[in-house]
Amino acid sequence: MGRRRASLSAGEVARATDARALNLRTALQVISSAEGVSRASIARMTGLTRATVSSLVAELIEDGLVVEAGTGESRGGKPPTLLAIATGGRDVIALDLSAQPFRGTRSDLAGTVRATVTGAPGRVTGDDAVGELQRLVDELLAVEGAPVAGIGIATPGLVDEDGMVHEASNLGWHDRPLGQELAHLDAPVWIANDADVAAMAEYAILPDGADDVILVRLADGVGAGVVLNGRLWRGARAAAGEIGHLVVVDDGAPCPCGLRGCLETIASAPAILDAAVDHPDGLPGATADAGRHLGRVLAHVVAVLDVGDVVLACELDGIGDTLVQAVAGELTARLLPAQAAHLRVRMSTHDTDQVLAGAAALVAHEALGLVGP
Amino acid sequence: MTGLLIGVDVGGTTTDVLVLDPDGTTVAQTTVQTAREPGIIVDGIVEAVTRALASIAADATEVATIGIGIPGAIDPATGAVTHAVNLGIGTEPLPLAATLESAFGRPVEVENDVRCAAVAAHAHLNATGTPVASVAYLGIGTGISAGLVLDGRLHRGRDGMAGEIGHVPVAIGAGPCACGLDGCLEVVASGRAIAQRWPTDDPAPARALFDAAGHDPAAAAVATDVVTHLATAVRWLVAATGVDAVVLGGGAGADDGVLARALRDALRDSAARSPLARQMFDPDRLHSLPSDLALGARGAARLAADRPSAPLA
Repeated sequence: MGRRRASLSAGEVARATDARALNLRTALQVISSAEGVSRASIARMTGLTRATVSSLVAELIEDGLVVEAGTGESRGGKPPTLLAIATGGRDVIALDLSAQPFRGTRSDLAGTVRATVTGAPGRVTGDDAVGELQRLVDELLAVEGAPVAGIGIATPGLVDEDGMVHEASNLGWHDRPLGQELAHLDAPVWIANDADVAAMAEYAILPDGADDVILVRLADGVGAGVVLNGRLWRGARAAAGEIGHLVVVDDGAPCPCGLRGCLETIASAPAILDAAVDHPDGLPGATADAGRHLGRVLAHVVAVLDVGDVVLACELDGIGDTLVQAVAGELTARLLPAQAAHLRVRMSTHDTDQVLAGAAALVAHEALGLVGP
Repeated sequence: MTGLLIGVDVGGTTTDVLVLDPDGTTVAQTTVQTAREPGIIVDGIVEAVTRALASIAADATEVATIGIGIPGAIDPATGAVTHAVNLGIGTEPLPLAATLESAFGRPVEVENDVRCAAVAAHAHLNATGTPVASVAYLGIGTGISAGLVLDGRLHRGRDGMAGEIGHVPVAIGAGPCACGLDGCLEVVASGRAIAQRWPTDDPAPARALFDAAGHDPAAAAVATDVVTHLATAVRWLVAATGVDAVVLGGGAGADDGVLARALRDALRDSAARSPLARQMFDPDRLHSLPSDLALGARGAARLAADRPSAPLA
């Protein structure tokens, strides 16, 4: 069975240092991309010689990354030995900073969680937020397990490929060189926008044919990840889909970013809960209000990018139907019939935590070249 | 000379023709009135191109490729045009590429005019000291739409509808739009809307409005409203796409840079209040380029020349 994954842009391409490392990575990628791969099929798919492939596979097995997993059907000769990723061969660490307290996991390469950590109650910002992150990473690094392939950090806000967080107003971070601050760790660190990694996790489970997707997350903030033509589209400094600070209510409630009436002040999970207290229709009423504002913003996003799927994910339980209805209603009212006709709006069906799963998958891909899970 | 690249921008009022040498240097440029009927529009294009070639004593045998930028929806497979309302083209497809290919015997590429301009704006910024990976070109003329170049590639969208932001309602109750919706961005902020909201004989209605806004409170109110809506459109465009630069164009957008200056002031205002707004909507990343660059025609020429099936110049 083939697996789908939003492919990465040129700037994120593997930084393999020599041909051998690149070939090892390629072999690992082929093994992870399908079931029933043998040494012979790797040679066929990569154009490498059988001898080279055998030597690469031997090294991967020695290194604990690949195992032999039974035999395939013979095509006349000796039945081929099938290869599989040794899912217990490495661990990956993932952190989600998009809602407080922060959460983190240490999992194997199949996504099975070995350990979960949660930050201290209460809000932290600035240096304290970095300290809290560092503490959780240390805690996860100390957990017994396989060698750690890398650490993936999903943060809200504008972040570039060097791990510089330009703006994460909920965390009080402005031009924070988070990548540098964590460079002393024993494992490599990748930092990405939370909605972007969630979009990649969502894309992997979407029906085939859905190659243009917006994934909107309502967490402590509101952000969207964009997949275009099957590629995660980040834009400059990951600003694509950064819709949380668009002003939707003139002279509305103050926002940590400095403006008033931002979408986040209406449609973040805490904002919906706050509004529900005084709303005559309670949580459903507050959710519908938030959904209408979100729908108005998404009408612009869909009109600009012409995507086919809008997927919503929310930290709050039980409001999905109301949210989808409100968002879809605004989109239908505000888009040209030709744009609205094929548009699908629905809640995410991701059954695990999208952001942590996405951050873990990011590490598995960046560190090892793995595709999926 | 051989390997000439032709770019044509068929506008609602005028048609620009550019003749470029294989290096992209302009060797001839003409502007003629657009023939605005399906029956004669093709003849008008043929005549304009022939005349531009004649001005440098050349003919179609010396041409490598011809690119046409035109409003409306373009079928990427056939180069046929529909829904170019201002040119009198409706739901009946005008087989523009096929007709011009048989007229000139050269390969013809047809693309939406705003997308052509986006391609040329991206190339122009990169060639003139502003390195950018992604550009949104916001065409503000009779209507409003955007062209997107993302990571150097033209983005058309799943249904070829990407960039159609002019028909998103932004001011419910402001009045009906030709598209059937109410209060669309085009109804309040297009060049046509400006001319309706502040009637003038000036051929540059946006400039006339902003000139009057200095001393006339009614004009100032209209100008503020137009700028507020366009600033919102720019912010939402950047938040959706994460582009490095937004380029204003079209009849009203290129008008002496007056809209660009007003929009930059509006963005500066939010940047002063929010570091995030300063990062995302940096006023210095909003550009307006001179209209004599003929971005639409230049982008059309480039798209045709870059088409993989085109013969090498």
